[in-house]
Amino acid sequence: METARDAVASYVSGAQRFFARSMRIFFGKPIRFLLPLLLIAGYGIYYAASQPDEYQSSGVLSVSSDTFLGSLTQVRDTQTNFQSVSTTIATQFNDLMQTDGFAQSVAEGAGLADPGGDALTDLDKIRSHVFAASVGDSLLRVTATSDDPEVARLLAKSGIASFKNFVISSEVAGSDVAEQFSDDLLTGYKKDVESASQALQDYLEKHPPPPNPNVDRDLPDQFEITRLNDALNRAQDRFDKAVDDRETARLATLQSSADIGQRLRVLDEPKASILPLAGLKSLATTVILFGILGLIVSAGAIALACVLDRSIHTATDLERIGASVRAVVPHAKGLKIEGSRNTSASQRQKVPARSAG
Amino acid sequence: MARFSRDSKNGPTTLAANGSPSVDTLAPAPPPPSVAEQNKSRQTKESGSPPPPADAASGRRSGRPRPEAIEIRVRDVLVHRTPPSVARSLRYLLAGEELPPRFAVTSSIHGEGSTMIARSLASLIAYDWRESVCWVDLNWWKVNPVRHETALFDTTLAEVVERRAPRVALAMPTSIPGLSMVTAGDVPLATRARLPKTDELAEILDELSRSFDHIVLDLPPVLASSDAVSLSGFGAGYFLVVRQRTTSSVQVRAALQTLSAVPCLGTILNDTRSNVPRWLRTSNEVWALGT
Repeated sequence: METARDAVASYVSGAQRFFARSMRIFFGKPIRFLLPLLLIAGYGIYYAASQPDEYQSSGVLSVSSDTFLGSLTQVRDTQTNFQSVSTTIATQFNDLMQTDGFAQSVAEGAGLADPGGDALTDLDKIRSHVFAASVGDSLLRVTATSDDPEVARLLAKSGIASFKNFVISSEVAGSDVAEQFSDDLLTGYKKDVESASQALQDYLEKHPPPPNPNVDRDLPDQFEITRLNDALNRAQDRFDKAVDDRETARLATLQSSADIGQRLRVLDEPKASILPLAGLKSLATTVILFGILGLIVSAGAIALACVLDRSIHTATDLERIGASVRAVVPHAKGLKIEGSRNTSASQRQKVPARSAG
Repeated sequence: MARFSRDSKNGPTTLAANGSPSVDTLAPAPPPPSVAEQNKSRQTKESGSPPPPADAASGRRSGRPRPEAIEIRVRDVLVHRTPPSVARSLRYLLAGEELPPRFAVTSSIHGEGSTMIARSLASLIAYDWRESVCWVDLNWWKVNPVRHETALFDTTLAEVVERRAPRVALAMPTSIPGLSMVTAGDVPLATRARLPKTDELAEILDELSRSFDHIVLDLPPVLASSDAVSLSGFGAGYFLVVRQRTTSSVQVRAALQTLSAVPCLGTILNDTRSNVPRWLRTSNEVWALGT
C-alpha cells in the first residue's frame, strides 16, 4: 500500500516537474514555440479566406419500397433491419457516385463533361460535390455544391435524373431483353414470310393456270400450291405473334418506367441558391481547426524540447543528480564592466607600483 | 625574502613588505572595524540576523535608498561589480555554515561565471565579515583573458611561480578593505600542466593562507582542463558553479565525479532567470528570484 502511494506520489511529482520544465522552456523563448501556432493559424485564415463561396442546391425525392426498390430492400426489410428505404437508397446513390459511369452520366447531364479536360480529375470533383442523404424514412435529398449556384442546381438535377434512369434501366431490364428477343425473331420471321411468299409466287409463275378457266389445275399443282400457301400462312402467323410479343414487351417497359417515375417522385426540384453556404461559420470552423492543429504542433514542440533539453534549469535539477545546492544566483544586469576597463597595457607604466614606496 | 604578515590594527590584512596600510589608502569603503566589531559581525552572521545595511532587497519597497553594488577596484580601476541581487543570494550561502579557510570555486565548462562568483564571494567575505580574504586566480585557461586587468597588477602568480618576480608584490589590495587579489598571468601552454605540481605554488598558497583569513581559489573548468583536478587539492573544498540552461546534467555529474577526491562544499546555480509568470513559478524559483 505504501509502495503504491509512493509510486503515485513519484508519478505526480514527475508530472509536475515535467510541466514546470515545459513552462520554463516555453516562457524562455515563447515566440519560438508560438511560431508554429501562428503560422498554421495564419495559413488557416488564408486558406479559409481564399476559398470561393460555395453554393448548395438540393432536390428531394419520395422513395418507396415497391417494385425495384422493393427488391432492393426486400432482404433488409425484415424485423432485424433498422435501415429505412431512404437510407438504403442514399447509400446506393453514394456508392454509384464512386463509379465512373454514373459520375460521367451526372456530369453529362449537367453539361459539365469536358472531352479535352482531365476526366478523372473532373469526375473526382463531381464525386465530392454530389451526394445523397436520407431525410426521414421515405425522403431522399440529393445535394450538390459548387462555386456557381446554377452549376449546383444542374448537378443536383442531373444526379436525380441519372439515378432515376439507372433504376428504370435496372427495372425494365427483363422487358428490354424480351423486346430485343422479339426484334431478333421478327427479322427472321419476316424473311420466312418473304421467302414463302416468293416461293409461292415463283411457283405460280412457272405453273400458270390452264387457259380454260373451267379446267382445274392438275392435282399435283393444287397440292403444291396448297403447301406453299400453308407455309406462307404459318410464317405470317409467327411473324404476327412476334410483333405482338414485342409490343407487349414495349408496353411492359413503358409501364415499368411510369411505375418507377411514380415510385421515385421528385417532391422538390433543385433550385439555384442565392446565398453562399454558411460563409462566416465555415470560416470560423476552418480557422479553429487550423488553430487546434497549431496548438498540437506547438505543444509537441515544447514537449520535444523538454525531453531533449538536458541542461540544468533549477536547483531541483541539481539536487536530482546528487549535488547539494548552496545558492541560486539570479541573473543580474550590470555585471559587464564597461568604460572602467579602458586601462591599456601602458597603464601599468602610468600607475605607480604599489611597492615603489 | 619578503613575506606576508597580518596587521590586525590597520585593517584586516595588509602586506608587511612596505609596511604601509595600502588597503586603507585605496579603499573608499568605511574604516576597518576593530577586532571586537569583527567578532560582533561574525556573531550577527552566525545568529542569522539580517545582513549588513548593504543588503537589501527590502530597501526598495520601504522607500529607502536602493543598495548599491559592491565594487572591487584595483588602482581605482573597476575590475568587478557584485550587483545587490547577486550579493543577496550569496549571503544565504555565507550565512549557512562556516567556510573553510581555503576553498576553491570552479565550474564544469567555460562561461559559467565561476570567476564572478569567486570574486563576489571574496568581496562579500571581506565586506560583510570584515575578514581578510585573498582571491587567487589559478585559471590559466581563460578563453578571453582580460589583459588590461592583468596590467593593473605588479606581479602575476605565474611570474612568481617561475621566479621571475618576487612574492612581495603578489597580493594586490583592492578598494574593499581586507580584500586582495592575485592574478594568474600568462603561462605558456607547454608549462601549464607542470605549474599545479610545483612546490613553489604550494608554498605561495601556504604563505597567503597565513596572511589571510580566507583564500578563494579561482580554478579552471573541470572538464576543460585537468589542472582543475590538481589545483583543487589546494583547497579544503570547492564550490561548483553551474550556469542555468548552459550546463547539462551530464556535465555536472562528470565534474562532480572528476573532483570526487575533494570535498564538495556545494553547487551554486548561477545566472538564473525565469520568464514564467509568478503564479506558475515553483517554490525554488520563488526562493531564488525573491518573488
